[in-house]
Amino acid sequence: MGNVLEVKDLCKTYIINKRQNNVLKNVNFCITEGEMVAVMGPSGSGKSTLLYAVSGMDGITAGNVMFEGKEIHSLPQKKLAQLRLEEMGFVFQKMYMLKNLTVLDNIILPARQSQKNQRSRREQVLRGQELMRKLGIVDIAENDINEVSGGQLQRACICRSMINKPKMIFADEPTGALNRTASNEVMEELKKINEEGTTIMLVTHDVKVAAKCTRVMYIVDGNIKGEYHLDRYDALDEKAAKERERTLNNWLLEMGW
Amino acid sequence: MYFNILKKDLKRKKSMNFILLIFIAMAAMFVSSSASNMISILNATENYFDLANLADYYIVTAYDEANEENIQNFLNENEQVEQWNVQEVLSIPTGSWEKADGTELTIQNTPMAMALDLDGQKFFDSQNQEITHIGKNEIYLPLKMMEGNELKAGDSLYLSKAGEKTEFVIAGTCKDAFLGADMMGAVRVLVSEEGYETLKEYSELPGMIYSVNSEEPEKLEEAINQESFIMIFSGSRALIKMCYIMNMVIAGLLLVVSICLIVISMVILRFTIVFTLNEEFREIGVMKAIGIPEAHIRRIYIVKYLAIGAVGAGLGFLAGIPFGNMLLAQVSRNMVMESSGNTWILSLVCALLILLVVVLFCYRCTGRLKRFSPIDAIREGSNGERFTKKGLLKLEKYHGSLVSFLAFNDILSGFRSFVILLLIFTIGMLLVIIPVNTVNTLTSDELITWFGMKESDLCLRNEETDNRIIREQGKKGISDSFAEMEEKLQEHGIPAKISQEVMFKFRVSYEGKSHMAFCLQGNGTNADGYVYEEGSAPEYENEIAITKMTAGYVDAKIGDTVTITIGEEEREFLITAYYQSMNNMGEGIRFSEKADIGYQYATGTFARQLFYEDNPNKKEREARKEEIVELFPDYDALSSGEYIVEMMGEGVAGSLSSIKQLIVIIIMIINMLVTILVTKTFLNRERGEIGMLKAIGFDNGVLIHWQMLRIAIILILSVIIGALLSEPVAQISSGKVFEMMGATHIEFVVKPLEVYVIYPLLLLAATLAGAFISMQQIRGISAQETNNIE
Repeated sequence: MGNVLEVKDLCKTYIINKRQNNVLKNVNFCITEGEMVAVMGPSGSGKSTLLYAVSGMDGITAGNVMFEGKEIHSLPQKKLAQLRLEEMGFVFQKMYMLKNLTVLDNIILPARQSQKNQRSRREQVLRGQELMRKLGIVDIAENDINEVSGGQLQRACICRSMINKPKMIFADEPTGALNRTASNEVMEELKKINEEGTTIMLVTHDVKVAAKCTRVMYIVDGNIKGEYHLDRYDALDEKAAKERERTLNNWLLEMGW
Repeated sequence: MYFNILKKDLKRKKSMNFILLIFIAMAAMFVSSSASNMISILNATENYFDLANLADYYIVTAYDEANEENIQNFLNENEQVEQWNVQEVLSIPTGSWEKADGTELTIQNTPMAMALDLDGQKFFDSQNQEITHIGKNEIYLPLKMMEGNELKAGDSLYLSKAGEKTEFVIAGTCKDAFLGADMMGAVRVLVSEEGYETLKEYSELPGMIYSVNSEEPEKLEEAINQESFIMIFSGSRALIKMCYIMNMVIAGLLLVVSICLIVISMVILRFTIVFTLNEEFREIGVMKAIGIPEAHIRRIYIVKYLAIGAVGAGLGFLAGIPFGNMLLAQVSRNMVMESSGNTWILSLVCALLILLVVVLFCYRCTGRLKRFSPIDAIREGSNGERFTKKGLLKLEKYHGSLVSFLAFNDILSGFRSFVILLLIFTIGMLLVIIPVNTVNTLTSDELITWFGMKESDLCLRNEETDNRIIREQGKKGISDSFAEMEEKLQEHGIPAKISQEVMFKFRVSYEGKSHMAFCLQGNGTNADGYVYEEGSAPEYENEIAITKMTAGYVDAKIGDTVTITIGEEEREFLITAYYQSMNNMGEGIRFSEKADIGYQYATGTFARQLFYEDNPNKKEREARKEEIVELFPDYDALSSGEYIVEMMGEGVAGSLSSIKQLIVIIIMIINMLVTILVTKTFLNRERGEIGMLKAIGFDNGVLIHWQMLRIAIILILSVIIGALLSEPVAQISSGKVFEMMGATHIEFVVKPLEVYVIYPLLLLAATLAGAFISMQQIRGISAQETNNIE
């Protein structure tokens, strides 16, 4: 399988009060199609900055970010926005949605803007409803976003990220604002999506979440200190799953977690 | 600690605090300038008359020894007269005036020249300084003569007669309280005693101006009405004041603008304070959570708004004085309308008032602190209790573009947020539509019918010649002159009929009440061709139509038979109709063409009116006008609209047009500023949502389009509301002025292209420019702003 994302010598520097702050220092990695990669690290290590930089949401100071073979930071703003709209999906820690729209409308919003599949209005709605059904939230389609729980809303955000059938989903602490049950449900959905072929890169603090991925990158002070590869999570019993989390935890402790 | 919190707040929320500062400064500027203008405007004419030492009653006559003796005897004997004074004037024929290049001056009425008399009425120059000295060969001209002939101080002016010429140098403009109003037909020029002696060589038409002081000028007028004096003009200060009505229209318009500006300022101020305070919920929640008492939190915000308010009010106070003077300058072109001496104190009081209002708004709004709980801080504004449906449109069912959906949905879901813009845009729209419709009505051809005349194809004006023909040759002479004119036109392939309104002043009496009334009779036309409000046209020689105002003076109505004294003869006339007229502020009687009225009693004529008999097209009419100008070089060829504008005073339409432009510019600036500031406020609130949309792939163009479309929709809505409201609002604003001038039925002339397309497009351009400027902020919002979402 080919690389979806290739990052070479990525540097990101912020100037705060005339002081240079090197948040990312020569980061290099690749993500292959179908992978589910977690980025972990202590607070302030540059996890979210890395996610924003490689997804084109934020600019970079130096280096290259190739998405599907295209250098995204050399793209004009409009093209980059189109790339994010059609080939990338985003899930954030907070369930960001437009307040004045129903849950379903929020989900189909990117589809209405996209020119990728040129689906009819009805097909867009059907696709939105299908995704909601798959994620078990079809009942809340017509609800206002204030009327649903955090877990339901985060699943709705996952539906929105999937509406344009992206190549890759970027998730910034997708379970950070959820309780354990909701967190498990959301991770199950992300795992299913990954199994269906969508590549996922997520940032998390939660070992349980990271343990469901196929690779974990540990970042400290803007550098990737180490990587831990895991087998696919399929059909593990509870004991095996716990063992997987324990092994990962031990590795993280070795990394300085 | 509180000081530190405040300092941090001012530093951190620079954008919102700056917006608030601007609004406070704008409010203080508008309120302080408007308040001082209001005071100046409300008593403007009275103050001006007092300043000019104007008498209570004036009589103007063309010199006639017997008549003068009668008047002077009357003034000596009448008990209503406290004191009187008379001054000689000279009517200098219009053809005697020449500019330095030899061209004749364009003057509507024969100017009266007078020697400056320091004991009588006071005159003022363009700088509002009293004219106390005039050099031997110097002359002061009224503004309408100066502007109409593009003259300026220092230019030379020549009086010529039989090859002789005398040079006068224009010393400047003189403001004449008695004869300076645009609606006053006569104009007066001022010269020195020596200059006056020179002028006597150029005129054999002396006149007299009697200025009379009386405690009760109304009773004096009644007594004068019982006499048979031959007068060119007689009237009290009240009538002279009415002649300044057009200045008052402009002043009134400014007053309305000022009031609207104050309303706009207050509405915006309240909106901004409520908005900024609502943005503080997180900080307030945190402060409450850590145990700071509510009173202390309130104090922090009051101190903050007091500090911003003080700076804003100070800036507004400084800007208000020049802004107010700029507005006032539009009104006081031909009168002395000075800001009262204590303007700056008033402005300061207004600025302080704004500061007080800011603090009070803040005090009242901080009462909402109770609503902000620590939970707000923890749950970022959502306490989980809001379950109302907000979205009204459904994207899944929406057929239009996504951008239009987002714009419409935002407006429908959060209409309250847009009410402020809608209100301000609508007020602005009304402020533009009403003066535009008023100016268009005042300059329309149809307006001539409001003066009791027919709408004609062309007006040919040379009142001096026509009055001379009437004076010397009577009705037959003027009728022959019409026939000659018609024949000459026919020879040049222009089949046309000529008619003219002849003016009289006769006493009308009914059941013991009498009144000196302004009367008209059409020569060369039928009385049934005019517009009547009620009843039928006076068909027979003993029938008349009358205005409701004149009928009211003698308590007569349709069907009554009134007595009109024509010379020595008393004749009875049956009232058959009411008609509306703005002549002499609503006065009028119309005789049937069959009535035999001696032209020796005529006091003047309107322009000759020309009616084509073959209904030519527009192009042909223009060609004919040029031909007629060549055929009759002694006559000015004007459209009905142009003639009426000149009759009311050209300055009026000019002033109204310039004030209209000023208002359009002010409204464009206000729309732009308000749009910039309100959209910046919205952007501050919506940064998170915009950041999220950017993150999921919406580009800047789409987002700017969305935000601008919302503003455009609100503006279009305000155009519709403004258009719907314009008619009723115009009726109660400028319509009232027309009513004061004698009109009883007002139909405004609306030019749809101008009112509903051009001006709205101008406002739309300014508003969208404002929106576009502030929307550039969107480019700076990064996808990471999603962290600011609430």
